[in-house]
Amino acid sequence: MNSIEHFGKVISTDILIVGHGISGLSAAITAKEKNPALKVLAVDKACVGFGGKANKGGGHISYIPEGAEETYVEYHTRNLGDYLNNQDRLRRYAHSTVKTLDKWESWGVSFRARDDAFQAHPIIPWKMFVVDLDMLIPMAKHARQAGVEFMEKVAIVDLLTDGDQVCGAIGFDLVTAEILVFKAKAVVLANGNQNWRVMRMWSSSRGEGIATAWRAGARMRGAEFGSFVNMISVEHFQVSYGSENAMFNAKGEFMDDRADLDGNLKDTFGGADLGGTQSISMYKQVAAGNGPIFEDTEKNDYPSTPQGMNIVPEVGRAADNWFRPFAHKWWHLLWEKNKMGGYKTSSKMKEVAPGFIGEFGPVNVDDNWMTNIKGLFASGDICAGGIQIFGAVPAPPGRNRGSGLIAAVYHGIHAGPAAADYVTGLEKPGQIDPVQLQALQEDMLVPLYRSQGVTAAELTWKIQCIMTPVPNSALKREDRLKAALAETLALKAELPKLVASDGHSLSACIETKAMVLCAEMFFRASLERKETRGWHIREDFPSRDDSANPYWVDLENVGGEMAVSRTEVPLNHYVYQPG
Amino acid sequence: MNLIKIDSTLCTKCGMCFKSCWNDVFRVDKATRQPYAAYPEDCVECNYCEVSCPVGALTVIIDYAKPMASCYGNK
Ligand SMILES: Cc1cc2nc3c(=O)[nH]c(=O)nc-3n(C[C@H](O)[C@H](O)[C@H](O)COP(=O)(O)OP(=O)(O)OC[C@H]3O[C@@H](n4cnc5c(N)ncnc54)[C@H](O)[C@@H]3O)c2cc1C
Ligand code: SF4
Ligand code: SF4
Repeated sequence: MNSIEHFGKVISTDILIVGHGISGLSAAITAKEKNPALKVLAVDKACVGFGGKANKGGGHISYIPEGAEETYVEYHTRNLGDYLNNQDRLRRYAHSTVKTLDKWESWGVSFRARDDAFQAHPIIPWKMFVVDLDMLIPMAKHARQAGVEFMEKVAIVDLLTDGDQVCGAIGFDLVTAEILVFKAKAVVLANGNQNWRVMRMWSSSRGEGIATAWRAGARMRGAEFGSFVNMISVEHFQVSYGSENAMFNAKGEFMDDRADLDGNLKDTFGGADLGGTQSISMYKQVAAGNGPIFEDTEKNDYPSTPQGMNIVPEVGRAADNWFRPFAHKWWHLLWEKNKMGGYKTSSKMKEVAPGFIGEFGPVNVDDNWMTNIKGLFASGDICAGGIQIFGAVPAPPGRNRGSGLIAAVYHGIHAGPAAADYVTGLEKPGQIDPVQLQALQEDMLVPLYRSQGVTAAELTWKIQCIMTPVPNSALKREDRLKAALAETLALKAELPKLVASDGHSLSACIETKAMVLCAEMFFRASLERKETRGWHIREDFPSRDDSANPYWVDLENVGGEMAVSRTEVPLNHYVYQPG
Repeated sequence: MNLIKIDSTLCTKCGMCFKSCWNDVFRVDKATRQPYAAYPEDCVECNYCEVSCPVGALTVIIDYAKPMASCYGNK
């Protein structure tokens, strides 16, 4: 049998961090801090300082002020987590947000108005302020100074294992298609969640990390909650921030949200800022012939809030203590273009529609962010659902704006040191098996050797058409879920026809495979949960089932088949119970 | 499809557009070192390349007629 060098360029490291978005950077810095003697290598398809979602969004940061932790835990459990959250983990998180901010700020990021943070919610004691969107640049600089090494334009595809232990990974260079073999004692998957490439700014998360973990045998949990839907402008496709509070149907009637939903749902959903039900209201209005839906831009208060002024240009420049130079420049360029080229008329009424995002991150990890595979850790959006800190919400923690960034940093500053401790205490590192390596290499490269077949773009469009409709992903019903699963499995049968011509299109093939796999997980888990809970909304089971203890839906890779099972939530052990 | 225009009379070939694009749209010509949009079909009009260009040589022209999967479905 060939030596591993035969299969590609071999790179050795103690810890391999996959993805240097905000969570990967946080994990890399803190792993190095924990044990400076270890080699920490972070690799990403994007270049350092630009990857992932943190710098494409609102930059809102929410945290729980000292003293308010238990109020938050109770509110979240009762209204958002819907008793699926691990209450011990949520409490630990609640007591850590201020410390997380201090650590994050020490890496040179530019927080704005931290001392002026405002009460962001009428009930939950969340405080909110903002960060400038070039935040990954100082973080990467800090990581380099700490000794973290980086590789750019690298796609990681599969993990190498020795028994139940991880020992490396295989991937390739996007530009040259050169094969890369990584020898590693621990791997931290920080490569984001799955958003099926529907929404523009979310398009870096294509679920490959989830698929990578799955193929290696990692367990998934909470896969039915990847159903985040936002409001978007039909004319320019971007999120229309705040429009959820200013929506009118085509008859000019104000859409008093949730009014048309089953009464049980109203109790299930507390008053957090964006619920799973707005998109359903829109869908129902349209189905009843009252569409399309419009936002009355004059009734939308968001643009004139301190945080909105940083994003939506019409109202001018934010006050000095809120002003973020980079966010201002970047968002304003986009909104100016959209105003000039996107909007067809100058009417204050702008058509809006549900914009499917997903936020599907079901990789299941333990209290140390380790999966069921030894030495394989996950951090950030990829496991924000599977860790079950937040319960019945899509990742990042569903409805509370401003919780994605801080949660991703929180994950990183725990997963990184946990990986460092694991490597430090590791007695016998695993050995790469050339037979396994060869099989994975062949599977990875096969689209390059086909001369004809289907392109990744063709299949991606088809999977987007399955995931995007509200009646498939947001308002679920058994017959529709089964039909969507059947369509997904038909696409799965087409995957062996994928063709690629270079590193870029090979990466697209691997992403498309991950999109189909994640859709299968989503529909299978959704079929298993025969009740409405949190963001999992069933038209055929409109209430929460309190007749027995709640359960988590788990997915396991059993010989290539997706086995679905339930694990009872240890509710008796927790402080808060229904009622 | 979006159009990514580079004004070669202004471009200094600094490579910031290649670096800043998180969707791997750019490649750099080996002989001339000139970045170009090799995969414009993958551009999501985030404008990161445009704001990152230090000399204003790059413009992203957004195609607002691109197809978007239906959010209401047909069932
Ligand atoms: C438009 C938008 C607005 C948002 N607004 C806010 C907000 O205001 N406040 C807030 O708190 N949160 C917000 N969020 C959420 C927040 O940005 C995310 O929760 C957070 O950035 C997730 O970080 P992450 O590091 O886990 O994942 P990501 O940022 O997705 O990073 C994953 C990285 O992995 C890389 N990668 C993927 N696959 C591979 C592979 N196979 N090989 C190598 N590398 C790979 C990617 O290139 C990427 O760099 C917003 C998100 C978006 C998109
Ligand atoms: S960023 Fe601007 S100047 Fe630099 S290579 Fe790109 S187009 Fe040229
Ligand atoms: S606009 Fe964004 S996605 Fe498009 S080429 Fe520029 S950086 Fe890449």
